[in-house]
Amino acid sequence: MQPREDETISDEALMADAAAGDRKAFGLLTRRHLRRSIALAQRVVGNASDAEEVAQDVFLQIWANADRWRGDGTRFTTWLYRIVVNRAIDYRRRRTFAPLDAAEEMADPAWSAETLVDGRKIGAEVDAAIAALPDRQRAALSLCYHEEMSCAEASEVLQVSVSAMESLLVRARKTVRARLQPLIRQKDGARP
Amino acid sequence: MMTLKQFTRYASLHGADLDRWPANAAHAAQELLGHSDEARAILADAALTDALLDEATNPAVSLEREQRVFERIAARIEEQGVPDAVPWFIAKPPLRIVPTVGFLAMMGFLGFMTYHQGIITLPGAARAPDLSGVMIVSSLGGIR
Repeated sequence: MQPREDETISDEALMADAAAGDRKAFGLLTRRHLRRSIALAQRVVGNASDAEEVAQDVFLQIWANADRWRGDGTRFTTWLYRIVVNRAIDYRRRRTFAPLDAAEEMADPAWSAETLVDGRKIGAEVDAAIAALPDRQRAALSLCYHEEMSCAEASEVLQVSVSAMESLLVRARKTVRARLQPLIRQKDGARP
Repeated sequence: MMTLKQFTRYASLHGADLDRWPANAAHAAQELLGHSDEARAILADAALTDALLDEATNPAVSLEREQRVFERIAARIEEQGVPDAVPWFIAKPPLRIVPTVGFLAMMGFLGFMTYHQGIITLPGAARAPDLSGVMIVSSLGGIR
């Protein structure tokens, strides 16, 4: 991959150039945000190949509709993450109707104490608990916890009020916590 | 002074790391933690949830993977070519439902008020046309 471009050019300026058909500007913009977009999509859709598909669709959609970019005081990243989250949620909903053979294996809640020793297994259980959340709760958790956005920023991405965003986040944490209660007991028990 | 209920809400929202709480709430929480065992227990509980969330797999996006997606995007754009710039005066206007429906409703209301209620009168509209000399012949041959 080529070296990173000059970071002094704002996203909004690059997007304005892209709207005028400047392919190079769009390339810079894509390089700047592609990795984070793939990671965010992966947290919502739950697997790597679908996340790549989502990120690709999102950037192609942005290029195709670049002339509609108005800015209107909205930051480019807020707009981008909104498209990524919405596209990822749509993608995941479509996948819900996929044949059972293609569905991911669900975690067995009755895991043994031995398997908990393995850190990767714990990670997998946490991933499964997050994956089982409703779409918007999972998106809220990804934006606020993993992307480290404030509730106000995340609420703009999900186009909900700040209080609604807070409710999504509280419910997400509570649900994950409840699902992983046996794991918490195990961790407590492992403490010296 | 922060109540235990407020403290619980912040802990269940932002977790145990007070740096992630709003500054004023974090300050009030510190005071509460100084004398409330219950608050400490709630914070410890939130820390456990945080620890679990930290165990979630962080999606690894390697340079190769990023480059692969970038190349696919570039190839698709290359296939499509540069979109033709459309001058604004011949571009298709965006369909805006609310203003369009509002405008039509307002026009309908004005028409109703003008012709049926007589509340709004237009010059010439108030004077009924003199039809005394008009002869109407129906298709059945009757004359009125």
